[in-house]
Amino acid sequence: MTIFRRIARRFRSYWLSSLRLRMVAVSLGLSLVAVVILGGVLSYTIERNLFESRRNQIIAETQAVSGSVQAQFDGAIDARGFIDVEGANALAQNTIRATTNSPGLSGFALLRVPGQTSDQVMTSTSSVNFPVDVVSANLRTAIHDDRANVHVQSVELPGGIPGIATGTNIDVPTAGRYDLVFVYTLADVAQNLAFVQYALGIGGILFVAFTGLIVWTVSTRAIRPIMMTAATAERFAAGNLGERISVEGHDVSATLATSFNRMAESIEGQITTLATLSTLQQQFVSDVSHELRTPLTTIKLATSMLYQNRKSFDKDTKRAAELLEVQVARFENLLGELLELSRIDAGAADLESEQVSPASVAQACIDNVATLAATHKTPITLHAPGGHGVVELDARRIRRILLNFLSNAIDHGEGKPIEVWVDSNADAVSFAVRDHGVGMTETEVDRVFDRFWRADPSRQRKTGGTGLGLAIAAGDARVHGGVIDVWSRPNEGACFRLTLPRAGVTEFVSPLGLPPEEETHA
Amino acid sequence: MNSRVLIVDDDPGIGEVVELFLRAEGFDTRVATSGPEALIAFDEYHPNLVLLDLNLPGLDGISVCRTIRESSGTPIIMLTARTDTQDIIHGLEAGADDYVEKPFNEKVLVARIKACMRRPVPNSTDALLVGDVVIDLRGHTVSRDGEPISLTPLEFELLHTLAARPTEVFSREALLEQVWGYQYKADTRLVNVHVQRLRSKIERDVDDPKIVLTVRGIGYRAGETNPA
Repeated sequence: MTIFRRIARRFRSYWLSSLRLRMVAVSLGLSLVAVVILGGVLSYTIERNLFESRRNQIIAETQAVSGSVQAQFDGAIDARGFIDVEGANALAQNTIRATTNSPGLSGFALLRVPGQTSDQVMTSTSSVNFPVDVVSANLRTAIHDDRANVHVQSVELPGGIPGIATGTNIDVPTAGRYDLVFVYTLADVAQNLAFVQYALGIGGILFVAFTGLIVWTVSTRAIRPIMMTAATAERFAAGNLGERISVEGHDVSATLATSFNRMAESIEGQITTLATLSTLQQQFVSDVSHELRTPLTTIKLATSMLYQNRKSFDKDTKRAAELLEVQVARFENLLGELLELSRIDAGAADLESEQVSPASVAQACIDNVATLAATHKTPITLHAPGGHGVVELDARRIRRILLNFLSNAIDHGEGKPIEVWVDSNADAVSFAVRDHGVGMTETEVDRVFDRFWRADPSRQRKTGGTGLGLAIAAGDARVHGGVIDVWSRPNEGACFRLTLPRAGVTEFVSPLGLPPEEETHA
Repeated sequence: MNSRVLIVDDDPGIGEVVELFLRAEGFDTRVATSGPEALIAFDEYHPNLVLLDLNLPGLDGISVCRTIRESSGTPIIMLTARTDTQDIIHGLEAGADDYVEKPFNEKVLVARIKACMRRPVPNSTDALLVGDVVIDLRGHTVSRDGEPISLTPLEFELLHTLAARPTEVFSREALLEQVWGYQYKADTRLVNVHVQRLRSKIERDVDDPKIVLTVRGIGYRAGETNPA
C-alpha cells in the first residue's frame, strides 16, 4: 500500500516536473484513441467486404452449379421416359466437381428430402468428409419452403472454423426432390482478415510509437529555449551573474532569451555596483583604521606624557591635560567600536573558532569585570548546569559579547546581584546575563540594539560605554550564526541571552529559558 | 649599558613620542622610517629589540621581519594599525614574537618590551631531553643527534617551558603568561603561531609532532622524554 503510494507520489512529482513527459503522454493517449477508432473502422469494413464478396461468389456458384445439375437430371431422361438415377447422380457429381471453382468448398451433398414417395429412390450422396452435422434443419426447411432460390446460412465447421452452407432444391425426375447442399469453409477469409488485422495492429503500434517520437522531438525542440532559459536562470540565481542565453533567430524564444539577457544584464550591473561600493567601503574602513590609528597613537602617547607631568603645570593647563586624557580615551574607544562595527557590516569579520569550554569563558569574563563589580558592590554568580564540555567557539567574540552584557548589567543593575548562566544542548550553547536592576519598557527593548541609543540619556553612565556595544554584540552573534534575545521588565531587571549553534547546526532551541529559572529538582 | 630598541615606523610622530617614553624608561633608541632604513639600522645598531610597524614605505614590515629572522633571533614586536587578523597572523608567521595594536598606551608597550627582553635564567640542570631533542640550558642551544637547531630566544623559551615540566599540560593562557609575560587575557593565536614555527624547526614530521604535542581542547605539552 505504502509502496504503491510512494510510487504514485514519485510518478506524480515526475509528471509535474516534466513538461515534455506530459506532452508526450497526452499525444500518445490521443493517437492511441485515434488508432483504435481507425483500426476498428478499417477492420470492420474489410471484414464486411471480404465476407460479402465471398458470400455473393458462393451464392452465384451455387446457383450456376445447381442450374447445371438440374439440367443434367432433366436431360438424363431417355426417349422412353426412363432415367438411370444413379448414373445421373454420378454424372451430376462429376459436373459439380468440374464446375465448382470457388475456393473453400469443403464438400457438397445431394440429400433426399425426407417424407416423399416416388417411383424410384436415388441414394443420397455426399462428398468425402462432408460435415453433414453443420447443415441445419432450418436450412433444409427453408429450401423446402422456397424451391426457386438459393439459401445461405453461416455455419461453424469442426474446429471452430467459420463457414457458409448453401442449399437449393433439385428435382430429380421420377425420384422426387433433393437438396443440393454445399459447405464452404471461410478459413482463408478468416486468415486474410486476421492478417489484415495483424497488419493494422502493427501499423497502429508503429504509428503511436512514431507519434510519441515525433512529439518528443518536436517538444524537445520547442521547449529547448524554455529549458535553456530555466537552466540559465537557475545558474544565475545560484550566483553566476555572467550567465546568458545565446539568441538564435527572431521567434518568440529569441524574444524570451533577449529579455532574459537584458534582465540579467541589469541585475548584474546593479550587483556589481553594490559589490564595488561594498569593497570601496571595506577598503575605506581599512584605510581609516590605519590612517586614524597612527596619529591617534601619537596623540595618545603625547597626552599621556602631558598628563603624567600635569603637576608641574599651572591650574588651567593641568585641567586641560586632564580633559585631553579623558577625551582621547573616549575617542579611542569610540573609534575602535566604530571600526569593529564597520568591519562586521562589511562582512569582513572572520570567525576564529577554537576549542573552549563555555563555562570557563563565562568565568573568565566574570573575573575580568570583578574589579568593576566590586566598585559597584554588585555580586556576580555563575550558574552552569551545562556547558563544561569543549565547544568550537570564537572565544574573542564571545568574550566581547559577554563583557558587554556584564558591563550593561553592572551599569543598570543598581548593585543588585547579577546571575550569569551557561548551558548547552545537542544543538546549541547559551549564555545569559540576568540583572535585577531598573529594567526597560517594551519600546526600550525594541531599540536596544540601535546604534548610539541609550536607555536613559539623562542617567549618569558608570562604565562610559559608547552606545555601540550591543550593536557590536549583535553583529558578533550574527557572525557566529547565533542570536541575542532580550527580556526585560521595568524595575524587575533585564536578561540578555546569547545562543550559539554548534558547528553545522542551523535550527536550534536555546537550552536556557528567558530569563533562565533555577530548576526545582524533586 | 642600556638596552637598545630600534623603532621602525613611517610616522615620525610615533617614532618621536615612543622614543621619549623609552628613553624615560632607560632605553637607548633609534628611529627608522622605512623598510630599507630599518635593515641598515638593524645591522649598524645591533638592537636588543625591534618595534616594527607593518605598513612601511620601500619594504613592508613583514619582509623586514623575515629578513631580520634570517640572521637573528632578536625579539620583534609588531606595531599594527590594521587589526585585520590576517595581517597579525602573517606578521607572527614571519617571525615576530609579539604584537601591540595601535593605538597603544606607553605602559602596555613598555611592559611588552620588558617581557620580550626578559630571558630565562638557566636553572640547576644542565640539559633537558624531549624526545630525541637535547636542550642545553647553559649554552642556550638545542640539538638533535649532535646537530644544532637554531631557535629564536622566544622559541627556546617556549620549548624550555614545556620541557621543564614534562608531565604538565599547559593551556595557551598559561603559556602566554609564562613565555610572553602577559598578566591578562591575550591573543592565544600568538601561542598557536609560535608553536607551529617551533614545530617546523624541531619536529621530524610537522604533521605528526613528537616534541610539542597538542592536547585537544586544553593546550600543549612536551613529548615523551624516554626514547623508545
